Amino acid sequence: MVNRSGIWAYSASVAGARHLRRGVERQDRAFHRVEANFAIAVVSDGAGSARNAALGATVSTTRATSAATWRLLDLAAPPTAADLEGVLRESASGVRQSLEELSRQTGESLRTYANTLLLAIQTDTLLGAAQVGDGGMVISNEQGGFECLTLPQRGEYANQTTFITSGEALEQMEVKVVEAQPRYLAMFSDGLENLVIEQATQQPFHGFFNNVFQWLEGQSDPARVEAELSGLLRSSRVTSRSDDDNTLLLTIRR
Amino acid sequence: MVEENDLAREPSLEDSVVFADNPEPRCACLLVLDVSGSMSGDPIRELNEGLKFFKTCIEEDSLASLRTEIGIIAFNIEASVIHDFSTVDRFDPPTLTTSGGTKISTALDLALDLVAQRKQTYKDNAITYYRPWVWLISDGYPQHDTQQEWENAKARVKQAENEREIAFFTVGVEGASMEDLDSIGNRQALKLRGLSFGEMFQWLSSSMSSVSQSQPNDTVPLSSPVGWTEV
Repeated sequence: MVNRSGIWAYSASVAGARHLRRGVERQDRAFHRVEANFAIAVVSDGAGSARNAALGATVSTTRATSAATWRLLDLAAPPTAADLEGVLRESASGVRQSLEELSRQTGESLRTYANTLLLAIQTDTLLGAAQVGDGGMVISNEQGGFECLTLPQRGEYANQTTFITSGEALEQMEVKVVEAQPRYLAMFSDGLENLVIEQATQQPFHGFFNNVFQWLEGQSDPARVEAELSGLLRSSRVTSRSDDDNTLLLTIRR
Repeated sequence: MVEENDLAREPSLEDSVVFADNPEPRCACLLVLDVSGSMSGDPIRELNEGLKFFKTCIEEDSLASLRTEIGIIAFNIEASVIHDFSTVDRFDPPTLTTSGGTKISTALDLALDLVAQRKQTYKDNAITYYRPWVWLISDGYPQHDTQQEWENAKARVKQAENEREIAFFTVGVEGASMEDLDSIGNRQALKLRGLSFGEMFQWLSSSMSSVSQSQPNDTVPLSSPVGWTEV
């Protein structure tokens, strides 16, 4: 397979035990698209309390990906940092418009589609990220360590966050563009936060990210990678500590 | 055969990963219990049994056991912390004894102070947490509270509720002035049916399970308190 960007993306998303017990479908979604000169990765976590959250999360991931793709393909020259920030903001606002349109068509209120949005775009020289709500994004740095690209947006309580459907979501969205081509990028929904982020320091837990990416370095078959990611998320080591939906998306530059 | 051995040695992802050892998010549940003289006899005996049963019920849910922290304030004319907040493995249900009259405002003040302190402890230790629950259980009325003390305490509870600092519930036991209990906080006071503390604590336990495992912005689906309340 030809992959001129050199970026490879893998993801897995599994339903949480609590959802399975209640007979509720999985409300996390992950989506990615790799083009010749850029790669887009999106994770969305539908709100447990929102009736149409699974559909909302599907719309968010696909709409963000297509909006960003067409904007980037439309550019005459490689994007500048300002271009990329524009692409991130327009993609998020495209998601919001799609959900508003869906709400108008169905007569269901906008908040029934509530979901979070994690959007990352990598080009040959830049890395851009936008986040609404919880979950997080972690990248490798040149010192062999890992750092948080964005942090969860949270209220005082563990069960509070903002959603793309919230009033000020687009204004409060965290947007970041840096000149970097990290070898590794990981995106995860909030179900995994307590397992992969050290709460006391709010830093990535090195042991997790280091071992996952070391393992990924030795893999060549995408289907096997995604099967093992799903297996990990379904394993008792994860489910004994998180009964939420769990999603993990990884990219690697090879 | 060599190839097969090589395959067998290839580590799986599950074998490769290690996870951060963070504390579980906590959900504080503070019981504010009336131990005035009028609670003596069957009421206090049933309440004491109920506390033991509460522990058993929470222990049945492994995640709720890790996340729920139970604290107890007992009050008559004075109020004191009988059991500081602790997870269920370290919760030692006390045997409460009764005496004296009833002063509710002191107990409410102590409850709000104790919850605020607990939140600060969570913050200081980078522990995430859910909105604390405070349960006032009484068979009385503000007998020894001055009008001013009573109004101040109620205003403080109302403000804490409105600012979403706590969720406040009141349960009246036979003989309670439901009108007075009803005037605290934003929710209607619940009247205990007979001495069905067991059913009440079972309900409270399953509610704590729901809350302690709720996800962002869930309106926690609590079952209605049927079976232990009078309509």
